[in-house]
Amino acid sequence: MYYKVRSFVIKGSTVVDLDIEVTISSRGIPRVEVTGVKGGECVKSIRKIRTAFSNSGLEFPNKKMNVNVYPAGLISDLADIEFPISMSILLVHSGSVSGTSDLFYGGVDSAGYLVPSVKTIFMDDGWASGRIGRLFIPDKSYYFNEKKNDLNVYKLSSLGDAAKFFIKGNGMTLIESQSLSHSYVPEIRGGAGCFCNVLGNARAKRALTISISGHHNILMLGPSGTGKSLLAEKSARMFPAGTTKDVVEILKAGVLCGLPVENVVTTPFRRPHISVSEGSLIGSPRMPGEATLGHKGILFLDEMHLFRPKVLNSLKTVIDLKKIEFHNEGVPVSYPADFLLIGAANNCMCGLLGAEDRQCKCNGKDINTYNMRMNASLLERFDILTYVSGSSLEASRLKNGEECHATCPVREQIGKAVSIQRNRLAHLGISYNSGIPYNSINRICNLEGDASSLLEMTVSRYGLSTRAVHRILAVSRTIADLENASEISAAHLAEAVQYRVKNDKP
Amino acid sequence: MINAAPSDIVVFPSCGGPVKGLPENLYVRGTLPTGFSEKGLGIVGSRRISPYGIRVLRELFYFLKDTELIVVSGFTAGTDSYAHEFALGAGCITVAVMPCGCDIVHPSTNKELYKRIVRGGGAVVSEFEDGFKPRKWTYPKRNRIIAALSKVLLVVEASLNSGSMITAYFASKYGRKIFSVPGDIYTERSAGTNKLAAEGAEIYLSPGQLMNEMGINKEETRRNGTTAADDDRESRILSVLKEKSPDFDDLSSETGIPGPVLNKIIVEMMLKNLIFEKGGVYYVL
Repeated sequence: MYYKVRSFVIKGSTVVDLDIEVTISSRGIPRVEVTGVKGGECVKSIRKIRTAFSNSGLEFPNKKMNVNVYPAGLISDLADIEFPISMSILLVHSGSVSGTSDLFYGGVDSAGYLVPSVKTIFMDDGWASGRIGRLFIPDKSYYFNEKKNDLNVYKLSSLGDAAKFFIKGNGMTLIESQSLSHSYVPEIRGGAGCFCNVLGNARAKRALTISISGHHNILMLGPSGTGKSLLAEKSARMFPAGTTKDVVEILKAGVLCGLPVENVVTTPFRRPHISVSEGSLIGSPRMPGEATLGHKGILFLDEMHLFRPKVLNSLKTVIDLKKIEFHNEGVPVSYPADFLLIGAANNCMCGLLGAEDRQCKCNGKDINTYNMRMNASLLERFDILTYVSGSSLEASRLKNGEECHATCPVREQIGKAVSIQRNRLAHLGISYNSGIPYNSINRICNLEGDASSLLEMTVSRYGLSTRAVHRILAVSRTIADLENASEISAAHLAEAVQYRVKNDKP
Repeated sequence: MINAAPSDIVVFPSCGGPVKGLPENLYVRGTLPTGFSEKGLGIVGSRRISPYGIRVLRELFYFLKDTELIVVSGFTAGTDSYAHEFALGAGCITVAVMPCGCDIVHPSTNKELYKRIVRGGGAVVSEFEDGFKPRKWTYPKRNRIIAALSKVLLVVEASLNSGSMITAYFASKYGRKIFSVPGDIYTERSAGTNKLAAEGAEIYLSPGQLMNEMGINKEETRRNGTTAADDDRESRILSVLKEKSPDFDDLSSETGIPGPVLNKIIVEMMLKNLIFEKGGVYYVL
């Protein structure tokens, strides 16, 4: 007797189809043989299924059985396909004939209950489109269906229920599930704290406001102890609330990284240490890194020059592509990495260059060597460069930082600018000005008359690259959006030019 | 970086009478100009040039634009590189004297500058044969050539035991006129230049002095806030910048101009070459 069910495994963020075939022989010593699986814990899984059967009051066939997984060698343990294996054993034993287009996914515990899975988050509309039939997954599993496909999703809580529905047919009705399981919706953080109570540094705060509003990568330079790290940490709280789509993406990234879903927050803030390796920052074919953990949030690199040069260089393509792609055993693996990069660094090794009252003792060669650690092509990927001087003048004048109480005006400003951008850019599939593609930049960033002459003068004075011009336009678009202006004025453009990394050689 | 072709060997150019202790020949890359005794302007200073030093050089070369001076310096980082850069920008011929064979670009970070010096009609010269590596003792030897090739030597910034002081010593030995840029008496990098001034070097106060000495008849009117600024706000910015070097926030609070407006004025002033920014701090030119 032979029965086949369809299932799948989730590798990285890719859903790979599997067939599970069970054959029961009428002769031979009773035992279960598993083929098509690399090494692993198959015997224990089968033993668990057997226990689950008896605890659910079902009969486990006492015959010689072969369980084959096709394609072979794709998986190394049965953890995620215990439910489909159980179903195929159950159905073959009851004499059903295979040939339905039912899909099963999930694990089983020894009591016979199905184990909720978070990996089902990757079975999104993209995957489901073009598929027909019924999908059975454990109850409380994450599944978000916008109902743009012909797949009917059912959530089952135990093996016993499945047996009732499929074999006994005693009128049990299944509820089609469309909404995501609420236990996994991360709490939307926000409302508390802003950077308004950080002393002084009006310029840096303004630059960060622009950076957060338009998702522009920002580099803060300044002597130590001026508040760079503090400002970066507070920025996470100023982050605009994400859309439902963003929340799903953040959740996906968290699940990919093996983060417990309860720990996923809506504004990821990652601050890797300078000793981080390429593998743990960018990721490897087997495991995503900090870049993915910071997806739709902030990746903050403090003391940026001190990271390993190799790590900094590998970051460049990630910044450009907003994702990381690998191949793992023939399966393409793609990790999302659309983060806002906030860099912070001193001006020299001792950290005092640029400080008003403390003298830096580095020599010119040391400063050159230090600056060389971050090369020009990486610097160019920062849309905004700002200096944090922690001006002593400002600090002595103010005894306390101004605390925002109920509502923070800057946060409101950011919120408005973000909604303007989302409306404008929705048809391009992006939500921030930093993502405006080259071919639409001139259409979206329309300059007033004197602004375009200012841009021409700037380009010829500083010899800016095409990329630099494109980035200046994008930043000035965000500055205009913060003021709800439809056209970019010369003042907006001038501010964007000020933030640009310029090569002002004599 | 080693170039394949060997350097030319030329007789040491005449520089105002026989001077003892100089080599007979020089290795040259590029075209060695003539007339050092009339047009040679040596510029030396600290490797760690301060914004003050940059400002002095910027202003000087603003007035030296399109003069036929030969700017002689030592090619190292800091003041020397700025002197070469500004000279090229002003259309002057510039000569770099190396402490090593002139096929070696030392420091290697200046390789672009090296090419531009040669392309700009200037020369890279050395008394050492190709492939000769720089040693500690080759720097003072290099400095004596800078002194010999200059009619006037300008010392921008120097600490007490620096190479610039050695150059100044040779320059006085060869009877060259030395201009020393005075500075803060408590700063290490001005200690040498102040000492030179105390010992009788000419105190450099404006480009006009140096131009007179070099025999250039060009109107020198130092630009100040009132003449160059187009409106009231620009002159307010310039008057603050003449006193000190503030960052953006300080400039905004000192002038009382709000940030968004200030941005536009600053960029326009930068484009007009009235002010410049380095490390987030603004300086007047």
